[in-house]
Amino acid sequence: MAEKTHQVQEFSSARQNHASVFVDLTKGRVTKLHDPGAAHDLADKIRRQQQVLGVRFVSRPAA
Amino acid sequence: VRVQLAVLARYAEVEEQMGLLNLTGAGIDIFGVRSVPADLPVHFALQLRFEEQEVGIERQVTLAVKGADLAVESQPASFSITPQLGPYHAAGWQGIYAVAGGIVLPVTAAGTYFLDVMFDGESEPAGSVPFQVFLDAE
Repeated sequence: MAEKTHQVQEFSSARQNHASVFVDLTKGRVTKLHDPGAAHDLADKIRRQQQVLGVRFVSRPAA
Repeated sequence: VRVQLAVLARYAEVEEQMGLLNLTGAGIDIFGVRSVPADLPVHFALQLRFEEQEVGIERQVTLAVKGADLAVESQPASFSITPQLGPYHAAGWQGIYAVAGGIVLPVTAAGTYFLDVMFDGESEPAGSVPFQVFLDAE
């Protein structure tokens, strides 16, 4: 018997409603990112800055 | 418009074609830093929910860092959004606006803070992400 296959489409109504931004609260400035590669460039920049600052993320222990 | 989700994350992006939020390490709420004051670079994501009657109306979204005493610690930063309906909209159903990217959080001392989300110049936050900063000797 042939196996039935179902292709599920998954997406969000935010397809029409989204924004990629960089928010600098030290300067009160928002830059909208239009280039698809900009988000990845930004991620690299943020990762480098975190390393320079020695930022460590800690999860909150359960009470 | 109301805030459905507001989080800090190791990485956050909007998947352009599908409108989905791709999040890694979402839920950061404690930062260890070697010294203060510090400007903390991190990713964030917002998922905003809007009603049909809000479609086509431009809204101002403002983000700001507040200290435990609720005094504003940062320069507030704003951007505008204009919700639209998509082809699959069902009558009476709400829509979603997704925002993701990077954010720099200025902190002056070890302690507790809020990243507040406000709409249209209101001072009362519509959403808030509490976070804590401690001095990390390592």
